[in-house]
Amino acid sequence: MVTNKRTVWNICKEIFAWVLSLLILVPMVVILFNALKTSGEAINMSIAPPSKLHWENFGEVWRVGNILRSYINSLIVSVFPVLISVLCASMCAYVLARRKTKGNLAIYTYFALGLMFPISMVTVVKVTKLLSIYNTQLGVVLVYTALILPLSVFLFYGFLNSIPKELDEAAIVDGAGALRIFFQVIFPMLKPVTVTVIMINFLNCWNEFTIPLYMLPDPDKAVVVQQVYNFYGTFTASWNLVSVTILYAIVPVLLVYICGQKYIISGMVAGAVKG
Amino acid sequence: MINKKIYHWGFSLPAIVLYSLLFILPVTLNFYYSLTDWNAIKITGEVAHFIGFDNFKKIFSNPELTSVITRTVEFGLVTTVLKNVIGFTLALLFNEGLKSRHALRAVYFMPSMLSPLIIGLIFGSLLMTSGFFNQLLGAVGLENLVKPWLTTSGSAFGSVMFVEVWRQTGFNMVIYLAGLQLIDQSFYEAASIDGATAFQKLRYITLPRMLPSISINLLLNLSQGLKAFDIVYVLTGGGPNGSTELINTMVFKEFGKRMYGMSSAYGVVMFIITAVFGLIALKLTNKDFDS
Amino acid sequence: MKKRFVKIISAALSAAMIMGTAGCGGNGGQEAETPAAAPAETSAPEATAKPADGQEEAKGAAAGSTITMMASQNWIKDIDRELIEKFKEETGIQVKLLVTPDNGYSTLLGTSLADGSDVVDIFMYDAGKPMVSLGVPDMALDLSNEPWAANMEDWAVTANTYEDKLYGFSTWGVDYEGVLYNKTFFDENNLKPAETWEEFVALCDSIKELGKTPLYEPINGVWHTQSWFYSMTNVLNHEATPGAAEWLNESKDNKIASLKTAKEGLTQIAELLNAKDANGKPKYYTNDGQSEDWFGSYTSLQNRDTVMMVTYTAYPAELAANGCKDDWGMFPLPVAGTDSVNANGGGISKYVNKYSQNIDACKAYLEFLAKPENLDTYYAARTDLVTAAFKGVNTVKPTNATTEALERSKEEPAVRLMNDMLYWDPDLYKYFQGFAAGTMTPDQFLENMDTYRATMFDAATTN
Repeated sequence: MVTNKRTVWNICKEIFAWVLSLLILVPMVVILFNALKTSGEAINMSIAPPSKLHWENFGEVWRVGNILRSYINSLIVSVFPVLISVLCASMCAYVLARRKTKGNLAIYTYFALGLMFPISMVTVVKVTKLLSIYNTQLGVVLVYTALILPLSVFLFYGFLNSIPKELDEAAIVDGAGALRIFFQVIFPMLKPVTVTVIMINFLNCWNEFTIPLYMLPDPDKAVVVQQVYNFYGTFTASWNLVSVTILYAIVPVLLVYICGQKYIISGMVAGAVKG
Repeated sequence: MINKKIYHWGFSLPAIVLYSLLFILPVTLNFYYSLTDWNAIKITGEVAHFIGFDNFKKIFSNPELTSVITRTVEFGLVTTVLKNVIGFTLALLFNEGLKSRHALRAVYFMPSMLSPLIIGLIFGSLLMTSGFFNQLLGAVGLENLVKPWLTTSGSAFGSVMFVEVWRQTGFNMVIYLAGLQLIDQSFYEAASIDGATAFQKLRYITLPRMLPSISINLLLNLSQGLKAFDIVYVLTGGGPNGSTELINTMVFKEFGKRMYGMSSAYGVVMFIITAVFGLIALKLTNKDFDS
Repeated sequence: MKKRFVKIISAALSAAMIMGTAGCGGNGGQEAETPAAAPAETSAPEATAKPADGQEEAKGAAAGSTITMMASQNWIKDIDRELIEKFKEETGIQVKLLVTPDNGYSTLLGTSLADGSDVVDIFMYDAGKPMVSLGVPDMALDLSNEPWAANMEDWAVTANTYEDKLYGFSTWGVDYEGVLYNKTFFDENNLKPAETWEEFVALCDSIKELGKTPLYEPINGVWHTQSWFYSMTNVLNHEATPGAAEWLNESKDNKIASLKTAKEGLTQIAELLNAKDANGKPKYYTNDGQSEDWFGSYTSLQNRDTVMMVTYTAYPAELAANGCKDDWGMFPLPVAGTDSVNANGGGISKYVNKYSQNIDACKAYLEFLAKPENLDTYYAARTDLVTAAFKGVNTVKPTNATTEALERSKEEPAVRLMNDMLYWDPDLYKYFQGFAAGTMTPDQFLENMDTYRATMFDAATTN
């Protein structure tokens, strides 16, 4: 009886959740439908299905927006900052969390402040010009890394506090050096939080477009999200092609998520909040 | 001694250098420029003169400033609370029991993977008079509610907050789901034997163990909400008649006029607001981590 | 599952890294350096030895090079891409387009061109006073001696010249602004265009009685409603000598607030925008959409929810392209006794960055665009342009609205104040929204404009 009631209750919850999810699915369907319309048909972005499927829209955007090149560019400026920041932030947080001297506490606060500082593109451009990394992908990679470091350090620091110091001590007794202790003992244990950091930072880098816009005037280095502007103007917008570009920008992240969904939720992100 | 060798300061060096050079240096310049009349009205003639606190005097004599700050704080707090409450509820719902929970999690997480620019474009069209949202209202007999949501003063701010909540709730849900899965099932079993109600279990077992997740979400959402900009900019541009103007849209507008000194000064004001709320949230977070 | 995922991820990551390094080494390095490297190998000798003299050889040398052209999102159409393709086939020179958002364009132009940077070879910007006040002549190449210069229309030469040097290359056109009205609807309902402000308000009332909202007005966007104000350019020019813009540009002490017509007109506009119907909604206009509520205009006018809009004469061509069947006409907005439409001053031009490494390729591109057959193809596709910037273009078509607007104008259309005046306040849109909300008066409006001008005059002298 109890289990029966429970199943009914669960089915209700399930139905409710799916109904509510329409709030998310409907906009996606609208995008999908409009991507397949003519620009005249798509002017209202209505949910009406396309009268005829215009698959050629995908080809046109692929060509005009140079999507393949844009994918590579987006990958470069998302993957490298994420990797570099994971490495730098975990090492930094490790020292800060393990040796809580006054100086290290100050450094931790210094990073935490980064969560609140406003950033202005003109000064970033000025500094990158000074360092001769303006209009280079290396420049964007380094700037992104700097921008995502505070949150990464913050998350690693929190997690490291939950790893007992006895582990390090055991390794020291075994005669391991500093680097070996970190990379062979500590870093593997950071896996859960590492994936959180990767997740958050990758999404942010992938979706960012202001920084590439200001730092990379070379059109060959444009990222996917920027390509929307080829079809979207103040006076006129080809909403069908805008929709196609949106789909092109979503698909890779969606794929990564679907492949990793189980891992992301049950394993990795769990680490972030382990107190 | 051992500490110094094993936890070598060199480990923190790369992070500190990168962060200082490409984040703190521009930010510091920004703080300096807030005290100048730096502008680039002529793009070839960028000149900055030190003018002390003149920009701030101007900002604080702007009659709209109070309402902009209030609105920014309201935006930050309301969206933070909603994202967390809804995110937490969804996490409880999808933690176990439901057959299709994996699919549901994926669906609800989807919006947080999209660029704010893109979300702005999507909702901009959905919320038009002839857009899907109004078609839906019409279909269920609520024609009198039909309106251009983003260009009507009364509804624009609410609509923008709705879109922001829509965008980030799934992210909060994922963090909460993660926290939930760390709670040892034996606590619940023991509580069941003692005859605890579902509410008691939530209150005395779940919530206390979720504090770290709550802190993280609070901090991230607050900083995001108080610095909100792109989504507002795409959806309403601060209008109609300033009814969705936030402090960061002001920063951007001055920037767009190439009044960089003024724009930086607004940035400093925003920093102060964010820092006040951020430090409160950080204090909470730290306490939890240290205990 | 976990293991498999880790495998997938690591495979993906390593693939990305390979692509990445390929990107950095191959694209990032090679591609990025092509523009710089190519002249170093081929045209460097000429570049050092006066490119102007060796123009013939230089043209050959330019083949294989790549130039970058920067434009705002509204300025590049399909036809531009087609001509770029054709140009590449003919000369081997590739033109890369940098298309950027509208709202940050001039800032972005600044960061890209500052300090004599050569990352952009050609850039686009408004001709006329905006070109001067942005400082374009300081960084653009003098194009006075280009072969196509003599063939440009006089107005285009004027709009693109500063201190006797021609800087801009224009394939835009002059357009005019007034009240666009649905002629079909007007005929069906026996309505007549208005010639005085009283008639205009009465006209709006009659339309209202027919159950339609008279005007579509994108008041939420930042650029549109100001056209109501500069509609009075002709009458403002009567009041100030030699003309409103010249007089205002003389000094910050010549205040726009002292022009009676300006106040009279703004009072009329404020009343119209502020009028509310029984439900407390704007009585005479409607708007819809997002931050750029301009988008809502197409559907609204097409569905006859609204029947008039203050806009440019090429607009009906855009409506027709969306499938609108109605016929459209235009009359001058009779604000403060205005009896003529105003002209936009020439639109958007192309400028060559004088620090560009590929000046010859840039010149070849402009020369290519100026060929009669290419101009014809271009203007045939640009139905949003109603006049051409070059002589002898056969394909440019004025709309019925253009013809009617000019017929109804009592005077030669003057270049609108916004394009001829220095330091046009970018916050005007806020003041108009203030009119609609009843929180702004015409006096405050004009005072704000003068304050902004004074600040800019001072900034310009200290720079």
